[in-house]
Amino acid sequence: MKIDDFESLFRSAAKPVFEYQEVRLNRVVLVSDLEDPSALLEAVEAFFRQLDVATDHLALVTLGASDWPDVATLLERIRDISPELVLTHRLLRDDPSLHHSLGSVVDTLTQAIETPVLLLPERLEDLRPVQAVMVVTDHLTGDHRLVSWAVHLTPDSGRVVLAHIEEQPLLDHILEAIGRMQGVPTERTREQLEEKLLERPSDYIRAVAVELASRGIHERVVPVVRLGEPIAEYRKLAEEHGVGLLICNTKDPRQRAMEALSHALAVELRDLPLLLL
Amino acid sequence: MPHELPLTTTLLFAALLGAMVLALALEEKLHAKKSVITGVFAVIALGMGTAFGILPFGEVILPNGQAWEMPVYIPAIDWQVVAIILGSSLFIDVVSRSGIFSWTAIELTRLSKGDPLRLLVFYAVLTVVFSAVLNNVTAMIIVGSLSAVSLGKLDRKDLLLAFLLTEGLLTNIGGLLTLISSVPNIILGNAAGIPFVDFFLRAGPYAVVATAMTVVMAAWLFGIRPLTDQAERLAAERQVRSFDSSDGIDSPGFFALSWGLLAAFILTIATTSVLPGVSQLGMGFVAMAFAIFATLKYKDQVDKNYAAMDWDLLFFFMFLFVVINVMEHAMVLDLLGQGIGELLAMGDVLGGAGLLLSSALASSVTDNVPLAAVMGKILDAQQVPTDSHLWWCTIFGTNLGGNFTPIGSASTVVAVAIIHKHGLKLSFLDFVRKALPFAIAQVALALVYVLVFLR
Repeated sequence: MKIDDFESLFRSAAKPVFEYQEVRLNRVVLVSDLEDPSALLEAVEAFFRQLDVATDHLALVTLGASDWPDVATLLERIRDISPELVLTHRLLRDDPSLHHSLGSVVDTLTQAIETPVLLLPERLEDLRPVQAVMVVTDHLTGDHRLVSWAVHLTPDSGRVVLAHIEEQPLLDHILEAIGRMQGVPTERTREQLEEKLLERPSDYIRAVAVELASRGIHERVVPVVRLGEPIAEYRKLAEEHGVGLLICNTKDPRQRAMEALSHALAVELRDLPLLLL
Repeated sequence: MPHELPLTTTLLFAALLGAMVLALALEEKLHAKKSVITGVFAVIALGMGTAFGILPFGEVILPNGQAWEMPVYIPAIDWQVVAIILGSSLFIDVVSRSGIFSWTAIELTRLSKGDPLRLLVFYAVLTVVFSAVLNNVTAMIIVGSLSAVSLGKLDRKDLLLAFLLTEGLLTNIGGLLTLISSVPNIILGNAAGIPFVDFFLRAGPYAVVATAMTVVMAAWLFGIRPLTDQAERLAAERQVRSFDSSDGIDSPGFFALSWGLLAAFILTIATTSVLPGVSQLGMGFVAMAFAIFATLKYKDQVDKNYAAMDWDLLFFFMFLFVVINVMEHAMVLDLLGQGIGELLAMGDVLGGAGLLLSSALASSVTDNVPLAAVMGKILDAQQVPTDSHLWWCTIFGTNLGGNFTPIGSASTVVAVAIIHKHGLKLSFLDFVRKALPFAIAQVALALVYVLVFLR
């Protein structure tokens, strides 16, 4: 066996570790383009009660249309308040018929500030009872922040759905190229690739369950690791598990996360609240 | 067989031997494998030997009295040595697929709790033991690969160079531990007729002290300190705890069987010289027999095990034995023996010290296998007794000399390859500069040990 063989063996044996990160929620900003956001505020408070968020000591600051004449002022106000969470809705000060866009203000918010942004569903009446919170990502392993937020927000009786869908079309595309390589056993390579792609997220989810149990946190973790077409699979999972909140990653050192899966989900699953971390 | 030859003929063949040694030293520069280099020289040597009429062509008389026509280069090869190397390599390749070595390595990593100093001590012991049981190169690959992965996980890549260098230097200490730990041991031990257990009992104490000394020096020179902060300790422990030692084990049954097979292999090899029947068949038979039984596990795909063999190394030995056999007939070894004889005439202490130092020096710049093969023939021809310290001077010198330069032994070459693979810079001179204090201390310790305890 050669150096690469043993390194692969040991890398495979080095299982991912989940590091639980305490989430604190003391100050939340609700951003809206409405002159009177009271109805929105009421819906938000009701939604918070569904989640595992204690609203008694929560400072909920509302920024209505008159509070931010432009995006620069909005960013400045948010930085001044330094909340742990920004709540808002799609297409702020934008054409409401642009269903396949989040709007330029939301796009800016997700990239210009570090604070997580919770996007309310397109229609407030879509806010449903939360039975489960689902973490949606195309690189679940190591996303400690996403999982920690999911655990924090899941109601005691609810489930944390940790989903990792490997993109089947992309894998097929790669395997098609491998199939044209002489000396590479196509079927065996397919089996190994599939196995290794799914192994790491499965290990990570197992590590999450172990770590949560060691901390006395007993929310039920539902692992979902498989191949498929991500958007369709996530939509199906949301329905199957009664998901009331989706959590996605938008912070990427290469600034690509919002262009990839998160953005696709944000515009496709408009009937679900979406926490963009 | 002794025959008179003109000195010029002997010198011509000596030049050929020198050219081969030089070519082996420049192996990397020539972009040629060892087996190809020695193969070319074997062909030339046989051709020249035939042209000069020095090769003993004719029939070979078998033990049953039958005369047999055999190519002249077949009895030139020490088939016992080839069988030991082939058999033990094949056996180790099969049992290593059970995951026993990776399991051991990972369990030790977990036991270290991620503390750098403890990790260094554990990996040092692991390197020495693996070098003794497997071979230097495989030991370096296993422990070096694990070091890269575990230090990466612990976010301590800054220590990787120190770890790999120390492990590389320790492979040659571990290579001294048993008769089958390194090729020079197999060649010289066989030539001297040293039994396995005697070898272990005589070399073992040195290996223990030299390992401890090397670890202490590495910790001191490379600044490898234990973790003192409680939070750091907990974080490190969490990281190494996540290693799953069962990950490389496909079949628990074969895993358990492999432990049994390995224990039986070591026990049988250790007692070969006293086991009735087996003592006549020799260690080569034992190694091959265990290899064949182990391959029953993969009987329908044994070609994969065959493919994993280091055929370059095996052909290298065979061709090397042919070259050295021709040199014997060309009286080159007699000539070299005269030089060695002068060295030995300086007395037990000075002669022994000179032999150890010159062996170490020679093996630091070229392959130690030809050196061991030539020295084995010379000492054997001079009828040096089995219990003479001169055998040990040569064994210690040929093994430890590899630690002076990155090309001194195959395992240090692998260590440097892993270092470069991980983007760390280490030139030839950097290696010499860093390894020199270790190599000098190890050779000095060997001098004292051999001359005081083995003389």
